[in-house]
Amino acid sequence: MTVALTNMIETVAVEFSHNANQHMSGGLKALDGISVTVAKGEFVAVLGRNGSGKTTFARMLNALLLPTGGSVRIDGIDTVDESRIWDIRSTVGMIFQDPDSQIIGTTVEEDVAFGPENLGLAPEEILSRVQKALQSAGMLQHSRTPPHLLSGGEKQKVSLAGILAMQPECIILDEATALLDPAARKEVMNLVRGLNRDKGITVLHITHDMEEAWLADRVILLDAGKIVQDGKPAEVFSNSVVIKEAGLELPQIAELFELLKQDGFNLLTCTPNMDEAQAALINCMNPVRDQHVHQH
Amino acid sequence: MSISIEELSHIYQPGTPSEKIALRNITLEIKTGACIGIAGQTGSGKSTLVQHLNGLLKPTSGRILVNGINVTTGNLSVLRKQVGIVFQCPEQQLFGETVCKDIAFGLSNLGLSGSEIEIRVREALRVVGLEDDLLHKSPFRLSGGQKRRVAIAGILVMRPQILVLDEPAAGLDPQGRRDILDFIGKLHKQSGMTILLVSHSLDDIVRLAERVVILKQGAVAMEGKTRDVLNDLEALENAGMSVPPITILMNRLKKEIPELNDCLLTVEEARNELKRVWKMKTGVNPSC
Repeated sequence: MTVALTNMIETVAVEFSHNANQHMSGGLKALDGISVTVAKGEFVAVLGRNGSGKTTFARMLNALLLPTGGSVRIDGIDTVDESRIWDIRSTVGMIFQDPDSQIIGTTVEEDVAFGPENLGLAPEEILSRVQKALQSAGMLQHSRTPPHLLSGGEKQKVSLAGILAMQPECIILDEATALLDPAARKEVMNLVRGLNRDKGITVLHITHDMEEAWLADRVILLDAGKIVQDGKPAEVFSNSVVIKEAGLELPQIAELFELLKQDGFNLLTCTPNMDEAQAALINCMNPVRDQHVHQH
Repeated sequence: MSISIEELSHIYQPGTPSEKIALRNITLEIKTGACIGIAGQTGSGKSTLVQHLNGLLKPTSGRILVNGINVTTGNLSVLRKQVGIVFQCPEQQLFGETVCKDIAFGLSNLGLSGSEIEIRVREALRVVGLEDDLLHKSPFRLSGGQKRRVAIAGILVMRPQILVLDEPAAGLDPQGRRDILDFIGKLHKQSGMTILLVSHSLDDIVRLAERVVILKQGAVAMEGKTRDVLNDLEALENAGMSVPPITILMNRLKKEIPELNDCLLTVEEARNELKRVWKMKTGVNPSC
């Protein structure tokens, strides 16, 4: 009898060296002992400076790369099990940074059909999946459009539809919003958040945008191939020293709170909710209600 | 000497079914030595506009004078020595075997001597904040932020008087972003180069540009001092811009705490202003 698994991703002491088989490796590890569990349905932001191992980690998760030490299990399947590689890749879909380098079809629907075609599905099934995926991504009206006529944000939504047509349980966005304008960013993020909420799709969002990360359920911070923080965004971003040592920045409002606290203002940890931040500041700026005492 | 854009319109593929009006009747004056931000949503015409400045695109109607050279009728090779354009993701244009050869490519086409080329390459490398020991490395072995700086050095080495940067910080990590913006700021202060910073991030523009132009659907939606433009949140949102969170927060606070000054654009400004008002109200520092 099989028991339903609750973990989408389980890694144990994962290591990766790019030239593990060469004597000249120099011992540099892109990933150095990553043990992490992501439950089904979580929305996790992954942060870290360039070279911290984010992308290498992401590539472990659909067996584009295999660990040189430790193990990675996706929905219970070990990624070294070559016979299950297609199960893994249809479980975990990945979207990359550059909107122009991941679209191959001459029309939007052709591009979205590429994945399901390769699964060897019946034509009617392919058609129905493409329609549904385009609908979910809000791109149905562009089915017949040649992709080169779309904007960057629209192209990323086509890429997302291409992944959705594979009916994955987990989506990894590898800086997929980095080259988009703020409006397109918001659209793609809303779409992904909706998929997470409504369909329970697990999301791993690799980003350099602290404001986006602030809105995730959980933040994992990588540096030099290791996990240096893992927790709720409010916890992780209250540790400004660690964030700065990892080469990152605090979200603007979190930074303001941290600085004001250093100055002696009576403030608690900041949350991403603008209304709460506003209320907290107004409250602390009111000298009468505050416990500060005039000492002259 | 300056950039003068008069009633510029640009239409892609005019007279065909896919005709698209990209710029509508744009009039702008950019003074020599200014650092100006050009912002707007994707498709608002930012890139189309800047490609006119060195004659990569020609006006469908209107006129552009760059340091007195008319981009429609003037000598393009002279124009292009004066205007350097760094395109979006310029690291994709790297191709040299070594960083040195890549940066020197433009210069070697000018027929300069080897020693002059070397001096200029080293100077450009220094300006973008990279060390000499990278010169003989392959540019493809560098980090994303370093690659981008090498690509920018390849433009700076031509010593343009006007530098256009299209999304110079997009896609970089926070440190890479800071590094790039810092050296652009320094470059502007030290060299007096005219800089046009194209970005959809008002955050980046606030850090560097004293003036900003906001485009919407090919037309100028807002123009003025960065501070004044950033103070009009409603107009910014109408133009499809996303306002930095700190600006939104301080704007809301101002309604409840009227003593606060207008237009606080950075976290540091907001912090100092809140401290000032606290001291004004209580007569003591918040730490007392």
